[in-house]
Amino acid sequence: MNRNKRAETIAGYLFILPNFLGVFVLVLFPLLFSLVMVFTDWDYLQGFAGVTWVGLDNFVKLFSDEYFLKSLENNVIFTVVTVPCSMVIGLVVAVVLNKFVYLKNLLRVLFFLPYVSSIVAISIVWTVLYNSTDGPINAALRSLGISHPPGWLADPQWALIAIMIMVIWTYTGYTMVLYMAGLQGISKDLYEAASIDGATNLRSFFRITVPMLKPTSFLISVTLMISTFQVFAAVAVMTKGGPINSTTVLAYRIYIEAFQNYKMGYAAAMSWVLFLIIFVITIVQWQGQKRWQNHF
Amino acid sequence: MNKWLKSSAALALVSTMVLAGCGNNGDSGSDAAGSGEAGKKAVTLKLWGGVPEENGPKAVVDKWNQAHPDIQVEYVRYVNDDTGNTKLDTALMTQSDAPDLFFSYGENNLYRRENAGMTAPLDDLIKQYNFNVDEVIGNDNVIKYNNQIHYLPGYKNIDFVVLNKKALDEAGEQVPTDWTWDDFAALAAKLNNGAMKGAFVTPGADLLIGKFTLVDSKPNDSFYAEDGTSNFNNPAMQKGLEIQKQLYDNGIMVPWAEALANKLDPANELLSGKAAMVYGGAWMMRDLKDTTKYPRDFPVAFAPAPQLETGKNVNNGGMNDFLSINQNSSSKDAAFQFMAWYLTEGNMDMVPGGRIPTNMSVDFGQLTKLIVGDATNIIDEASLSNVLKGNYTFATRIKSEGYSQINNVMKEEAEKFFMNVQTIDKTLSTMKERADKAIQEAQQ
Repeated sequence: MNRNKRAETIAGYLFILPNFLGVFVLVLFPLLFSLVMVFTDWDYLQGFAGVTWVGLDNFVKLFSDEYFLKSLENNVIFTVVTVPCSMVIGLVVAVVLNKFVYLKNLLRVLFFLPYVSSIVAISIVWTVLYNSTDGPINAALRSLGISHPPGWLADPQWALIAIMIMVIWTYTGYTMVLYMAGLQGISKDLYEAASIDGATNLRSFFRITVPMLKPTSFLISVTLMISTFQVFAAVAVMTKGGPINSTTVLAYRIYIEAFQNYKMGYAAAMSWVLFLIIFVITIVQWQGQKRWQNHF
Repeated sequence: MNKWLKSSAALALVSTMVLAGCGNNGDSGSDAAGSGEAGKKAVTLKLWGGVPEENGPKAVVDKWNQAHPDIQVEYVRYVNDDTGNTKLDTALMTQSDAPDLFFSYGENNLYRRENAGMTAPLDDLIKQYNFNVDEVIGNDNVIKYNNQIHYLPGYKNIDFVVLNKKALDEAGEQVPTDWTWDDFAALAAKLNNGAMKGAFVTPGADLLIGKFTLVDSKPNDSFYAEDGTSNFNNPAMQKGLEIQKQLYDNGIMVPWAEALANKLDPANELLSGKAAMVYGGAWMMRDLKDTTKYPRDFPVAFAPAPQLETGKNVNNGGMNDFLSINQNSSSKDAAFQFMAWYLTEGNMDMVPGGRIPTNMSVDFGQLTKLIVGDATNIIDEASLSNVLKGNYTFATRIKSEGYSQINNVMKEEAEKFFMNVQTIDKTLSTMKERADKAIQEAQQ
C-alpha cells in the first residue's frame, strides 16, 4: 500500500519533470543567476573567468548615471500618461459600443486588432505615419492650416508623446474588451431604478457604471502598469532611445548596457531595480484596492 | 511492480529527450572528420558571414564546393547588427552549432572575439600551407594579437563620395579629385536646389563629418590621443562638426533628427534624386547598378573622400571582413585551406556585390570592369577606376578600450550640438570628459 503510494508520487513527479526542467533552465535559473550577477562586473564572453566581484558598486553607480535617471523619468511619465488615457478612452468606447448596437461586433474587432497585432509591425507603420516631411499625419495637419506641425519622432519634445499616442491606441482595445465584459455584469435594475428617480444618463454613468466597474479598473490598472513599465519594442524600433535620449526607457537601457556595452552585471542591477519598482507599485495598489473595495 | 517499470521507462524517455535537446548536434559533420583531412568522409565546414547569400557568398561557396568534394563549405548568414553579433558570440562561446570559420565586421567585433579566445592563432597554419601574407595582403594590413595572426581581412573598404553627374554638369562643375571638407560644403551649397538637397551624410556614429576630419588628422587610433585619453577635443573634430552643422542649418542636408527618424539611406537619397551627392563607399555598388529598384536617367560619378587638408589621401575605409577560424573547430586544416583560397581567388566573386578584394595583385582596371559590368551608361567608369586605384592611407585601429562606449558618446554629444542644445565648446569638453571616463573604466 505504502509502496504503491510512493511509486505513484514518483511517477507524478516524473510527469511534471519535463515542464519543470524547462521552467528551471529557462526561467528560474536565469532569475536567480541575475541576482548573483548584480554583485559582479562580468565580461560574459570570457566565461566564468571574466567574473569580478564588485559588491554594491553597480547600485551605487546607478544613481549617479544620468542615462539611468533619465530613463526612469521617461518610464514614469510614460506610465502615468498611458495607463489613465487608455483606461478612460477604453471605458468610453466600451460604453458607447454597448449602447449603440450598429456594427457592434465589427467595431469591437477593429478596436481590439491593434492589441493583438505585432508591436514591431505596428511601430514600423507608425514610423511611416509620423514621418515629419512626407507623413500622412503631418500632411493632414498642414491641410488643416497648421503650417509648422510637430516633428514627431525627429523632435526631442515630441518623440515620447508620439510613442505614447501609439501605445495608448494599442492598449485601448484591451481596456475596451475588459470593460465591455465588466459592463455585462452590472444589473439593469440599477439603471432602471435610477431613471425612475430621474437621474440623467450622465449621472448614472458616474454614479453607477464607474463605481460598479471598480474591480475591472483595478485589474486593468495593475496589468497595464506592469506592462507599460516594461515598454521596449516600440522604443527599440521607432527611436532607439533618441533623439537626445528623449525616449530612452529602462528596458531599452538594460538592453544597451548588456548587449552593446557588454556590462552584464550593471544591466542585471538595472533590471532588479525595475523589478523592485514594479513590485512596490503593485503592492501599493493591492493595499489601496482593499481599502476602496470596502465601501461596498 | 508494473508501475515501477512504467516509471523507469518514463524516466528513460524523459532523459533521452532532455539529452537530445541539450546535445551538441551542430558540428557532427566536422566531428566525423576530426581525425584529419586525410579521412575518407567529406569534411563539412560552417562559414558564418553577414553578406546576404545572393550578393556573392553563394557563388564563392558553390565554386569551392565543386572543386573540393572532400571539403564542403556551408554558408550561414548572420545579420551584422547587435542581435546578430550576439548570436555569433553565443554560438562560439557555447560551441553549439558553432561555425568553423567566421567573418567579423569592424575592429570592435573582431577584438572582442580575440580577447575572448574565440579565434585560433594562424601562424602555424600559414607556415604549413606556405601562405604568403605579405605578398597577398601586406603585413602592414594585419594587426597581430599576442604576437600571432588571428584573422586575415578579405575586403578592402574604400569610402568615397557618389555624385549625380547630371546635376554636376548642369552646375558646370568637374568631378573633384583632391578636395577638402570645405570644398565639399561649397559644392553642396552650389548643387542645392529646392527639390534636390546638396548633400547627404547618413546620421549616426559611423559617418560623422567630425569623425572623418579627426581620422584625417590622425589616421592611426584617431579616437585616442598619444597619452591614451580621448582625442575628441581635437580641433579637427571641431572643424568637422561645424561644417556638418552648417550644412544642416543652411538647409543643404536633411536635418539630422529627421534623417535619423526616417531612417534615410544614401543610395535611396541619391538615386531617387533627393540629394545631389552622398558620402558612401564600395558597399553601395550593388544599389548603384540596380535600375529596377531605383529607375533613373542620370549617371553617377565618384570622388575620393574629402580631406581635412588636400594632398593627404586619408580614407576612413580600410581592411574589413576579418576572417577567423574558430579556436574550437576540429577541422582547422580544412578551414585554413578554404581561407587561403578565398583570399587569393575566391573573393573575386564578391566583387560584383561591391566588395573589393584585399589581394594586392589584383588588376584595378579589370576590377572596375567587373564592378561596372554592363552598366556603363549609368556609372562613370573613369572616375570609379580613379577612386578605386587611389593610394590611400587607411584608418587603422589597434586600441579598443571602451570603444563602443566612446563611439556612442561621440554620437550623443554631436547630436546635442546639431540640435542646438549645446555650443561647440561644451560639446567638445563633454565629449572629452565622458570618453575619458569610459576609457578609464575600461582600463581597470
